[in-house]
Amino acid sequence: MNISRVSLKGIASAVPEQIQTVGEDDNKFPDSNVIKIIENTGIRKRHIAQTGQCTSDLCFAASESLLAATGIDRATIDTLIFVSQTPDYVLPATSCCLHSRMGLKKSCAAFDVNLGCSGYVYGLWLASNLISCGSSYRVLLLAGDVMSSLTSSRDRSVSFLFGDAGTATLLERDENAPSMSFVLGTDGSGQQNLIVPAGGFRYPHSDKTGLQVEREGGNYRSDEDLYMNGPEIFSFTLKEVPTMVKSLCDNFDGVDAVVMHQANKFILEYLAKRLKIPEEKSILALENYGNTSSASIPLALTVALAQRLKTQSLQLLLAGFGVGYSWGAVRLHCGPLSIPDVVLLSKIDSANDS
Amino acid sequence: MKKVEFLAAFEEVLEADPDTITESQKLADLDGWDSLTIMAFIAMVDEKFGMNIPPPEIVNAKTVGDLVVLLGDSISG
Repeated sequence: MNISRVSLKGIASAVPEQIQTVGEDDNKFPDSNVIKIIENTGIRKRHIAQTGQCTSDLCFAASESLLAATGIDRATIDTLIFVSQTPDYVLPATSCCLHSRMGLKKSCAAFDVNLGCSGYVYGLWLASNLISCGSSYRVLLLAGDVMSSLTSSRDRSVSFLFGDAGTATLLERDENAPSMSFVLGTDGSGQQNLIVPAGGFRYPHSDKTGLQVEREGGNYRSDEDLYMNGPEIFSFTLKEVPTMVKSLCDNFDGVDAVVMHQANKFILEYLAKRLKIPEEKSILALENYGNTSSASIPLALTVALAQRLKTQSLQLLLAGFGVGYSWGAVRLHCGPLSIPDVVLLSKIDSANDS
Repeated sequence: MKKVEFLAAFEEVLEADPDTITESQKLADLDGWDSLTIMAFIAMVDEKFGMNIPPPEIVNAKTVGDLVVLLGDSISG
C-alpha cells in the first residue's frame, strides 16, 4: 500500500550509559564458546539499563535531543505513538506518562503499540496514515525497549543478544514528499516461540512464576523471563522476509541502503545473501548495541547512516520481523534529516528527569 | 545431491574436518550441535535444497542419518 504527503524530519536515539561486554562482564557459561557466539551474533557489547531505568527514560532523552536538533515547537505535535513491549506500567499507557513529562499540548493524541521487532515499521505506517489522511500534521513516533530486564543471564539463547535503547522519529505533512510503500503481515501461530509467558492476565504473576528453573540445554529461566526458540524464529524469517522484501523491490539498484531489524549478524548476512543485497547496502549495526527490539531499525539509522542521511536524500528499505509473529517493511525516500548524536543516558539523568 | 556431498556440506556447518562425519553418528555426540548450528543447518538446507524443514523435526533427529531422511528424495545414493 502506498502512502503519500508524509516526510520524515529527524531521528534520535538514546542508550543507557552502562555497558556489558559479551563474555567479559556477563559470562555465566564458562563452557560456552564465546568466540563462536560473537562470530554468529556479531555482538561484542550491549548498553544495559540500570535498575529503575525505563524505556520511557530512553525515549524521553531521545525526544528532547530530537526536538532540540530540529528546532520544532513541541506545541505543534498532534500525536504521540509509543511502540514498546516494556512499558513503565501495566496501566496507564506509557505514552500518557511521556505526554505529561514532555509537556505536550492537551489536544495531542497519545497511545501505545505493543509490538517488538516489527514495531518501528508499524509505527511509521500508523504515523504516516494519520498524517496522510489529515488527522495529524506532526507525529512523534517513539520506539524502544529494555529487553535486558526480561532476559535471564543464565539462558545462553538470549543473554548475549539483547541491548536496551529508546528512539524518537518525527514525521510531518509534506505535500511534495514521494510516496512510501508498505507491506505488513501477521502469523500468531508462532506466538509461543518468542514469548514472556507469565506476568500478564493469561498466566498471572505468582511466587512460582518468578523462579528460575533448568530448561533445555542447561539454560535457566523463569516463566517471567523471555523464551526464544532460535531455530523456529529463523525458519519463520526464511519463510516470510524474502517474500516481503521482494514485494517491495525486485532488485536493489534503486535502493541506497537496506536496514532490517538487527536480530543478529548470522540472520542478516544470510538474508542479504539469499536476497542478493549488495554488501555495501546491507546495514549491520549491532556490534556495539546488540538486538534492541523495536529500537533496532531507527538506532541502526542513527548509528550507521547518520552522516549520509544528514546531508543527502536516500532511498531506504526498512524491514522488521519477529515476535508475534509480526512483520512489516517500507520503502521510502528520506533525508536530509536531523540526526543528533546518540545520547548516553546515566541513571542519574533518568532519575532527575522523572 | 549425492549423500557424500550432503555429508561434506554438513561437515562445513559443524566446522568439522572433512570425511569425519558418518550417517550412523549420534547428533548429541557431535561437537557443537547446538541451536546456533541448527540455524546454520537450516540455512544450508534452504540454500542448497530450497527446503524449509520444520525445526522440531531437526531437533528430534537422533542421528546424521535421520537428517538425511528428512531431505527425502533430494538426496541420492
